[in-house]
Amino acid sequence: MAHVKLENISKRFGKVVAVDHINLEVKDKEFIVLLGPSGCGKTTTLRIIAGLEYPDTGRVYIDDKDVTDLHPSDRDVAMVFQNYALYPHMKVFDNIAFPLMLRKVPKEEIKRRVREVARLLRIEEVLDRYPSQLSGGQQQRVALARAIVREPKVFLMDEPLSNLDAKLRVYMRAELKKLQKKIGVTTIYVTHDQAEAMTMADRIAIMNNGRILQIGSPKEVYMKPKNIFVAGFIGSPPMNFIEGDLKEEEGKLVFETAGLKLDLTELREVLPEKIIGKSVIIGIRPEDIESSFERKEGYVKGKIYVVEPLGSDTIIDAEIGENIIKIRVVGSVYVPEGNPIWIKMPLDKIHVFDKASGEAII
Amino acid sequence: MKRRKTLRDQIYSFLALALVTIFLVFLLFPIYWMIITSFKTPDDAMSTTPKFIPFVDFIPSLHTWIDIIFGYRYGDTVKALFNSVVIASVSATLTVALGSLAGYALSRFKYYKWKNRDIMGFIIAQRMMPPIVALVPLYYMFSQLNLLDTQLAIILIHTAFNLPLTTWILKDFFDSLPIEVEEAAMIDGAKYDILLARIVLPLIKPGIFATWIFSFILSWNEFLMVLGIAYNNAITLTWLVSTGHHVRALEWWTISAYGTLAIVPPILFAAVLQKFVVKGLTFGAVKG
Repeated sequence: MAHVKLENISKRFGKVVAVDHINLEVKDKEFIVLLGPSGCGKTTTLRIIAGLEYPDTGRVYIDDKDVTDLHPSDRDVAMVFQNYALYPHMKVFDNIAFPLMLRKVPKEEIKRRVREVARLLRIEEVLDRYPSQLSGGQQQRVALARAIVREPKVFLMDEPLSNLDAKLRVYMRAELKKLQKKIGVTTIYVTHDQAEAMTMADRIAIMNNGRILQIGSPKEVYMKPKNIFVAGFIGSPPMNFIEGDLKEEEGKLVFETAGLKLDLTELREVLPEKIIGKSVIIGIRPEDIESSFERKEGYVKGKIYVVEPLGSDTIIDAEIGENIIKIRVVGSVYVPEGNPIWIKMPLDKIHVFDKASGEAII
Repeated sequence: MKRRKTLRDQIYSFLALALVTIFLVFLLFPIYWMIITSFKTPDDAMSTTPKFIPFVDFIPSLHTWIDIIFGYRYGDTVKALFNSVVIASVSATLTVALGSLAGYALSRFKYYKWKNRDIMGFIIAQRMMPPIVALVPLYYMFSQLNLLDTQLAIILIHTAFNLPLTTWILKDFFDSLPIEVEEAAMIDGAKYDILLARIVLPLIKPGIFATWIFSFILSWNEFLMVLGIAYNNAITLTWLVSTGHHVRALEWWTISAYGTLAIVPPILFAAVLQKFVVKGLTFGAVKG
């Protein structure tokens, strides 16, 4: 039960900067997810916390103790690897008992604790088998059991669910979250799957190119993305982006792009003066767009390009001017492609990004 | 569907069988020749018409074997056999012990001043030199150390000579292990001693065994260094085989008997120890 602090951590491999001056604080018992595309430095960050990599700059603290120079075995962290990394020559029981054995825990207590963890993860019946005789899901739970059994200060998980099939993954997602709340161990979890991050995390740290772009609760990063990368990475289907210019026209503030004009006068108060006259990108989530198949006052007309019914809802790709915009509609909708559609983008749901920097303005 | 064997298939399989047979005869005939010669009397062995088949061409005789096992060569035989076993097994054990540490270090650590590749090059360069080049300096060195004609001297030489290849082979085995397993062990609380003893070495047991046998056989068969360093106390079987060829005669029967004696232990060793090798343990270690 501990908090973790990363201070100014950098790491480069040859010419590639894997981690670029990262600062991160993880609170006690928190479930934090490092989320980002592959190669963004999230796994390297995790390995630095574990002690498997040594940072070029910066310090790692666990419970206010500087552990940067400590060997992984002295940090009291547990890690679950993407490929589980079970000990192939040991039976499941010995795999789970290994960390306890190294800590010279008495034999009777090892037995008791291994059985307890095995019961918790429902792998009691495979304790006598070798890892190669288990299914992927079982191997994954053995890897978890090995991490849990020693009651470490911090859990580190490196895409532990990515090798499971889709159904099991969704199931284990909930199980893991429940388990983490139950045993209350600070957890740092690495994934590239935004759905995993959204469902499991207390807080998400979104990384790209070795930097943390935003840290916040799933709701925060979803509702208030700090920049265009975060906005595009979180949410499925991703946020719609429309490039255009912001300008003053007859006392009104308008956003104009090929074939589309939006009146943003109401937003004048929140938009800084210096942005007017510049190129911006407007973002809006597919579920925030209001749509109608009949003409409506204040709606913009477009043409249906593709319809993707998903069962519970439908994604409609609409052609508005020269832009293709994705719209999420509740329920199954079957409309022929090429039909007209009318849409409205509520101003309170609109995000505006500076085109040059990608930073969010509102 | 089962296809009927055509004539062509039959010809192919016949040809394959014939080729294998020829190859086997090529390989095994010298050994056969050696074994039967060890059962010949000097007259049969030296006869101008070769005698191939026991009980038909010649009557087998135990005379040479009695000579080397019970007769006047008894002392030398026991000494050489004992020395060969001791020297080969001690040097193989030393070689594997040192080679696995070196191989592990080269596989898992990154050296900066001299790169890993340079070090590997230095190590193997030692084998580029013809061994005989080293013999005179080694002779001088061991005479200064008062180690001439000792088992220790030969063990040291064999270990040094076999270490490079062993290091290379074992490094390859370590390279093939998934690093995550070791990282997991480190995080679980293992330092390098436990990591090697409990995780890494058990996982490459087949490799350890193979390299042990390999260095055992290299040492067992080595003749030149033994010839240079040993003359009485530290003689080995290879040395003894050569004594069949001396000023007075070329004793084919003695050479054959010692030769036969020399090939038996390695074969037995390999056959018995093979049972302890369990393959395929590393499969399923990691997924991906």
